[in-house]
Amino acid sequence: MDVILQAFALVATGNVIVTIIAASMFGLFVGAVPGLTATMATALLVPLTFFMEPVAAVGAIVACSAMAIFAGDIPGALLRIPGTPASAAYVEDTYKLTQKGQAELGLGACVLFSALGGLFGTIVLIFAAPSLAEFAVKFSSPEYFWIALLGLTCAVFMGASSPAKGLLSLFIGLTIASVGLNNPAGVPRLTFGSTEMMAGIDFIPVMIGIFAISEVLRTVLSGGEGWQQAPEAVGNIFRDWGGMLRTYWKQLLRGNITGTAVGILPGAGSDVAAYVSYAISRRFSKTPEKYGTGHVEGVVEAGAANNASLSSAWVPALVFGIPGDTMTAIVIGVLYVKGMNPGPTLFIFNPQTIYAVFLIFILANLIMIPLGWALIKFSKNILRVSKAVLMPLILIFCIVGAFASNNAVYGVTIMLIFGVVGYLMEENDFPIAPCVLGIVIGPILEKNLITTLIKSQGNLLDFINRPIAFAIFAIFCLLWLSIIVSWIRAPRRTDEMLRAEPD
Amino acid sequence: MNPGLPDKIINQVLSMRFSDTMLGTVFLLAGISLAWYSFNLPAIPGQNYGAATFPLLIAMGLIGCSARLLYTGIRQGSEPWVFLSDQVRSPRKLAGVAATLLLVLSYIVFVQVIGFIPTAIIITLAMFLILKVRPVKAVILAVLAAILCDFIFRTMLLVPLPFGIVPRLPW
Repeated sequence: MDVILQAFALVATGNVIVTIIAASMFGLFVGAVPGLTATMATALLVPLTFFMEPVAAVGAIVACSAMAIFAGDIPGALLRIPGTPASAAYVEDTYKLTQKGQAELGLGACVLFSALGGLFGTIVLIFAAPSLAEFAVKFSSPEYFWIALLGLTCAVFMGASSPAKGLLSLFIGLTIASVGLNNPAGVPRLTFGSTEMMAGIDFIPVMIGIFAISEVLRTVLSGGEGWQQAPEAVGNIFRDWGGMLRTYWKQLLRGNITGTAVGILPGAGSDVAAYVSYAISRRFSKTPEKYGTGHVEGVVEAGAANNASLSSAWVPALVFGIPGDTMTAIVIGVLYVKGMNPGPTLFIFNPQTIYAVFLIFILANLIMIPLGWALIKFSKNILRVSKAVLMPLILIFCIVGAFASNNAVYGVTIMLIFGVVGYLMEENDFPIAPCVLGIVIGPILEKNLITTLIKSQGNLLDFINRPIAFAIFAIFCLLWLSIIVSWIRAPRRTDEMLRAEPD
Repeated sequence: MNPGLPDKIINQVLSMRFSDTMLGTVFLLAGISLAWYSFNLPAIPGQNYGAATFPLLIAMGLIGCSARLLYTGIRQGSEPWVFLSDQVRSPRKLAGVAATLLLVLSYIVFVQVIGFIPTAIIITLAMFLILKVRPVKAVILAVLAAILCDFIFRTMLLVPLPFGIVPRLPW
């Protein structure tokens, strides 16, 4: 109890509250602008968090990411352009509702069920993380090795249309992670004589490059043309809440559970949660034919799922230091900077900060309702801002942010290189998530691999002769088995997709 | 379910795609050079495993996946090495991208000499003009953005943004 009171004291300062509200508004704005993703919002926020207190810094990221995922629903509903990939699963339904003149029904569902999903995921986080941490204290290097490998496998196969490209993306990330002195022998590796690279490749400029600069380049290539439709006015979004809660409480619960489960899986993010949950909803619905024609049932379930996954993705991130998606990958970077090194010991030595973060999760999902309402009221004005005006501002902000990460132009160079790399990767269907997770998980994987190898003098059986390690290894094998089975069942599907693409 | 889809809904029009053969070749060469590089890393005395183990495993993975890409690429027959959509071929737009990259490069080279505010104004202004924002609006926004960034990062967050030729601003 004492700890929870301390956590309250940490959160209830003017500084933290103002930061959270400001970060929420930033997240809402970035999420609502089509083409700017929630991950980009988080990456742009990070340079600012260097200068905040730990709780304010993490709170800003929590609030910003939750708001951005919800705000992505708004341009989806009004213009049929999902603001973030996580909203793409049900964009047909919300847009058709708007066309039928029922925009308030669709958007009302988005606000309410995003908040409820987020709260459910948070509750799971609050209860699952500390108990998992008690268990994780017993882990040694082989267990961490298998968990890291499990996370990377999920990341590669959850999002990739071509497994080879997903794996290559992962290997790019792992290679980036290998740069510098931070390796078992402590020798300069892949530094090519550069002193700056000895510290490794800074994660923050890489994120800014991959997620923001690549988008700037894409806008320049498209000539800055954007959406020119004027969205319609939206009525009272609260009107149908009671009815929807009564009719769709089962869908809400199922969406919450699906989203939370997908979120906890390392490597699968909120977009995957939304797709899986929409598919499940349709499969069990009494009226599957209505899906995609302006039916709110799938929106309820998938809208709850993507926000639930966002909170539960923090479970593996906080307990093992293994990120659940690209956003928590960035969070882990921030936690290290703030001296809150993720891992089970965080719950033993710093419980009040962790509980403060949990409180902020609850707070963020509650203020989502009034702020979301305000955003929907103002959406007409926000959606009129053109990309041609936004992108130069984002570019200069990126440059300063990358510079601030270590107060040298080295950061800007890294950002530029990875902006180009990120652009080329997306153009060629290389998924970004495996690369990002590779950069974060790479050092954990290497450290635990080499430690185990040296401890066991090369005896590979030592990787699986502890009970927990063996259990994780068994899950890992089952996962690979299911992947291989799905390859044998549908060997031609990806080839056909690739061939159909160039038109 | 296809989680790879959403990005494509947003950016359908643009394309700069390399053929699988080309990508396979590039990654194969990268894998081989990484393996060669790792072989030359010093070992931990008395241990079989050290700095080279992990990159060697990565290199093996790179080589394996590029072989897979080369296989599909060669089976698809003679595709062009790189496919550019019409939009990417337009000289104006390519020049825009080149200019963007050069602008960031110029920041890296000149910011110490000229200082943050002038460099930032030049970069944002040039970007606005590339994206065809009206000049008056562009100038006002560029100046405001530079001053705002300077205020947030240098004054509030104490990032040592270089002054260059500009005297220290009063705030």
